[in-house]
Amino acid sequence: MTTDADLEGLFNRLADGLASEADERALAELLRESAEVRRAYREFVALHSALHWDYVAASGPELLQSPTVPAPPPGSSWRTGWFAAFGAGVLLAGAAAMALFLLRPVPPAAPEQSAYLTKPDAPKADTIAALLVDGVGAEFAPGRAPDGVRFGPGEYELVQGVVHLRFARGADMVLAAPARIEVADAQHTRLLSGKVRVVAPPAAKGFTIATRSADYVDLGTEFGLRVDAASGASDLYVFDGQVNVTDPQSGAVLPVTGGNSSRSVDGRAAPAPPLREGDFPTPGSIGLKRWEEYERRMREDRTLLAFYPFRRQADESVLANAFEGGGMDDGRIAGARWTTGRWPGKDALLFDRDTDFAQVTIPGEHQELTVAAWVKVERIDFVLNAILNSDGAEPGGVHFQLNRQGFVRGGVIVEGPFQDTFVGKPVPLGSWVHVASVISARTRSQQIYVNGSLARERRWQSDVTLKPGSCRVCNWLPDPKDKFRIRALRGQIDELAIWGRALPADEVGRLVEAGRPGLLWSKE
Amino acid sequence: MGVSTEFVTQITRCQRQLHAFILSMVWNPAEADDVLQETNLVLWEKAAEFDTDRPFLPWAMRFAQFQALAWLKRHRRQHQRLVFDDDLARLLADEAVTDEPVFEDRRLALASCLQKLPAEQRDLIARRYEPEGSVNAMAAAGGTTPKAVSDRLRRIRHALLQCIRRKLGEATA
Repeated sequence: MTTDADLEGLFNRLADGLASEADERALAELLRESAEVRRAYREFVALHSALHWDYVAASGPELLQSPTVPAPPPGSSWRTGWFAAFGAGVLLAGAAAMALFLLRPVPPAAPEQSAYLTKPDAPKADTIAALLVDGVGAEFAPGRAPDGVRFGPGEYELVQGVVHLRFARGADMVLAAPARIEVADAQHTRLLSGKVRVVAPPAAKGFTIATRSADYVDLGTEFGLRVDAASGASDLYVFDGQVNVTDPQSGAVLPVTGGNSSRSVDGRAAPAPPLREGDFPTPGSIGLKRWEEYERRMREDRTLLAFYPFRRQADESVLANAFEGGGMDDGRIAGARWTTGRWPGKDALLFDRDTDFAQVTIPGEHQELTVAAWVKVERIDFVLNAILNSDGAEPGGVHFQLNRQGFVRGGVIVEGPFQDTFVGKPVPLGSWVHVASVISARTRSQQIYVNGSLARERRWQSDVTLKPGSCRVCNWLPDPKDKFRIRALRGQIDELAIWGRALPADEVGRLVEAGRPGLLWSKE
Repeated sequence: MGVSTEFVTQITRCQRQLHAFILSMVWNPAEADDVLQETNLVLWEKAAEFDTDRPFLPWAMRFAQFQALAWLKRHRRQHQRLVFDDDLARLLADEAVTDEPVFEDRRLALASCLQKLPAEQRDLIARRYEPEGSVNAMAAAGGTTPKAVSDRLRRIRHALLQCIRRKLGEATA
């Protein structure tokens, strides 16, 4: 005979993940035999579900209705650890970091309210809810701007451009101007007006955007949301997964799934207008847009010899030169294949075989030369690994390469001795890196910069004129007498610029800033 | 999209009840969330087939039943599959539909019953049901055993169930 206490014990063990196989068999038998047990089981599970739903699934819209949200924090102390965690996008892996943001539900304040339980701790003065990851043309209204890249609780108004925020639990939000938001914490933001795209990983499940008409609870998905400032209507477009549209008054939940849309006006659901392409920019599109503006500016630099944007052409073997008037032609691609570069939509060439290369010709004689490229080195297979090398080893030829340890080296081939007067850090593998080689026959010196920092300096004594001529990108047409004939680089390149002058260090630094893959990208 | 207002209203109304039914088969609330999400996806796809002259919940419950069984199969829950064959799943789904008239009342009763719990018990419930909360984590944090934590939760759940029954009894009396 099974007593009520036995049954409740069994149900509790199942609910708490402590049931044995014998428990499971017992449940099967009891459920099949008795309608009374099934009724008790339903009652118990309904309680289990309701507690979960109220504490977890329903987030706390009441928090967002709080009339007193603190202003963004003044210049507070730099939170290196948090910053690193945001950048890595693996915040949840770090239990310590997680604990800082953990939502701690408090007991219900008003029993009649639907979302009566979940409520984060009060925001602390130096709380960082989100970080600015990227942006293009971004301009915030005075007094409603982030503190550097940090977004604490408070109101923000984007008057121009597009920004990409990453919240502490992993949700990404792309905000397009004009837009106003009120950040409450890492999981709760109010959209007052404008457009956002949200991409929330499973770790950010429950990420909630409140609006005047409804609350939008993300269940691990991607969606676009627009709030019309005048009417207060909000339009939701779910691209993938599910978003729960919650009426803060009644607690009613409308689940909207991938491919569907919904409009909310004054708590009522209605059909949303059709989605237009480009309505909700993606995180990757920001970087690409920023780079396209940079490319336009670059092409106005009359001191360029060539600018190769690595844009795939109809004839895929052509490496197009986007700068006319520098005396250089398009390059030719042999073996290397097209792939994706720093951002989705940005083309790059992949070099992963000994025979892969692209060929460009830098005609004439020069006193000064700068070669700069964005590269992603996957692996180092050889003693020397070329970024851009003149064919063979004639005096006046230029070499720009990595050694087996990943240190940059090269210069101009000169008669007589030379000295390396400074050697800095190696090139990191597996991430996008800006490398620039600046050679001057006038000062008889060469500087190589990695992500804008000096990584090698070389000096020599003899006179030499720079005659780069035919060069291979990511490979070398060897001098038959050389010991290290194979110098194939394993990796990608998505931009190459060549100037007939020596760029100063600060100008190299600006190139790095303009082309950086994202604001959280590290130069180290 | 072609989804009627009626459909939107109905799917909104039955979310919690579908979750409770799914939970009766998968036991883990977060996993029940996932199955509910899959069920909602199917319901939206089938929205055009929904006959507005017929009751919504039994129609939706059938899809929840299939999704929960499919989920158990996919996740190779051998024991749960032994517990929940097609017949039992159907029986539970059919009977779950009969709770519809009292389901919302129970939810409101729970809200009021939670208020009556001592602060220390409410805190225990909060920690068990917060995101990522589990008796194992609570036991590790409190220097006790998962069984000891589960026993305490059992007493609190018992009190809540009793309180809900009392409240519903009051309402009908």
